[in-house]
Amino acid sequence: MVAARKRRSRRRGRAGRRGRGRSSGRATALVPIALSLVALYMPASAQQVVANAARSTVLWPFVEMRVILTRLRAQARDFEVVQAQMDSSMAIVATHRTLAEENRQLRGLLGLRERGWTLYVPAAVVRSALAGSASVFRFGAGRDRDIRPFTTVVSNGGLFGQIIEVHANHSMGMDWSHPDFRVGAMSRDGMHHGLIEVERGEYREQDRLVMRGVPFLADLAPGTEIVTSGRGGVFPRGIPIGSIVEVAETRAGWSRSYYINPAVQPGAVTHGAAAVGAVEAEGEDDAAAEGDELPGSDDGTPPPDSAGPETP
Amino acid sequence: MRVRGWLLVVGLVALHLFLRVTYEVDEWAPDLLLVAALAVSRHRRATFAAVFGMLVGVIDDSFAARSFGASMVALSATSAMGSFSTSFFVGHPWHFPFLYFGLGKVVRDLLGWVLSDPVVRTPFAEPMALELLRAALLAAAVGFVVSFLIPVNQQPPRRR
Repeated sequence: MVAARKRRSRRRGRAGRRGRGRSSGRATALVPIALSLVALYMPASAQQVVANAARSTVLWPFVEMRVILTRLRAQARDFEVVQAQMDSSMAIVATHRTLAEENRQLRGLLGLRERGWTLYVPAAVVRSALAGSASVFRFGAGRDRDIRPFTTVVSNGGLFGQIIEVHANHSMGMDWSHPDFRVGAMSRDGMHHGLIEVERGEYREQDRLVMRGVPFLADLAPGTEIVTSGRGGVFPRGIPIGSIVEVAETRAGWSRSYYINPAVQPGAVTHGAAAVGAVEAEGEDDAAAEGDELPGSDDGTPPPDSAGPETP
Repeated sequence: MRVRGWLLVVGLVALHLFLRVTYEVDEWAPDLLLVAALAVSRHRRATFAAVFGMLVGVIDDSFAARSFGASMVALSATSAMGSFSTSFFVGHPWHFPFLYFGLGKVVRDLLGWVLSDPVVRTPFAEPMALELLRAALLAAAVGFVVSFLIPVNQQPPRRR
């Protein structure tokens, strides 16, 4: 009788311990979930540290493989196409030389000092299909090559995006399709100004660039080229953004908005060039000699051989 | 889970990164991180599964600009739920892996969408109505194949 009671109480004790173990296991499972929630609401700077640690360790070989693949694809491109693009670039550069000389002489007559060059740092652009990475890219140059937050990134054809986060040897940026992206824009003749941003559609494919705040009386015809205005000092002046498609919205008597056909399709970009700053014309040779930095034209347009063979 | 199982899990994570980072395949690449996390969670305690989910979530979030942590929470919670499911579903028919991985994908994507920054996330109609079904089917198909090597429809060994 006593032995049976003891057995029963032992069994109850074991079952109780097992139950407590299970419930404590469930409770401890909440700890990683809580930690993840903390990570979600951490300050952006702390999030960047964790994300950068993952990118520099676990993801590093995959990113490097991507860069190598891109390089191999570029090398395998049809030689004749590249040659044709280089020829057209040379023709443009030759024309610019005459213009630059005329400009220098006219500036001398007017007593104006010479305009500086915009320096560009070319690097590989890597995008990923991981969660939440839409509109974000990794740029293959960082603090070691003078990249700073808000640096403009251009590609073959025009404006591609902007750097948002800088690390030692790489940086992260957002392309123009990011909801936070804004750029001051104007028509090529500089007569009509506005602000360009993305208008989100029901689906990602319906996202469109819109130029807002254009004066109501300014009538921009379809096909009119739109470039950066340089206002605010973030984006160099004169980088092509796209061309006018149609009127998006009209605020009677006040302003108009226009849909823009972008000059650069972010999904197709594999190389970009970051505008790291302007130097005076006298220092042009010294600056060009440093590293891989390439001088662009004086109006901010990307260099012919940095982001691609064709100058916009 | 034996060494072979862990090798498969590491292989799934590596293949996921290879497809999504090196080859930038988006829509047609199955969510192998989730498959790996759910496969592990059927053989481990909830705490271990949640930690594993959190770690693969960090990798998944490493390129996220404004929603860092959303995948961490989603994968961690889904993995923990996968581990809890061993208490309710044991000795299942052969089609259990389909349901397990398919539903896991639905839960993970719903959680991820809810926790993402509303400014950058895609509208509800696109991921939920169109992409989720395809993604769940892909995950279910891959999970079914994976379950031959890491069985998910067997009773886990008794914990002491």
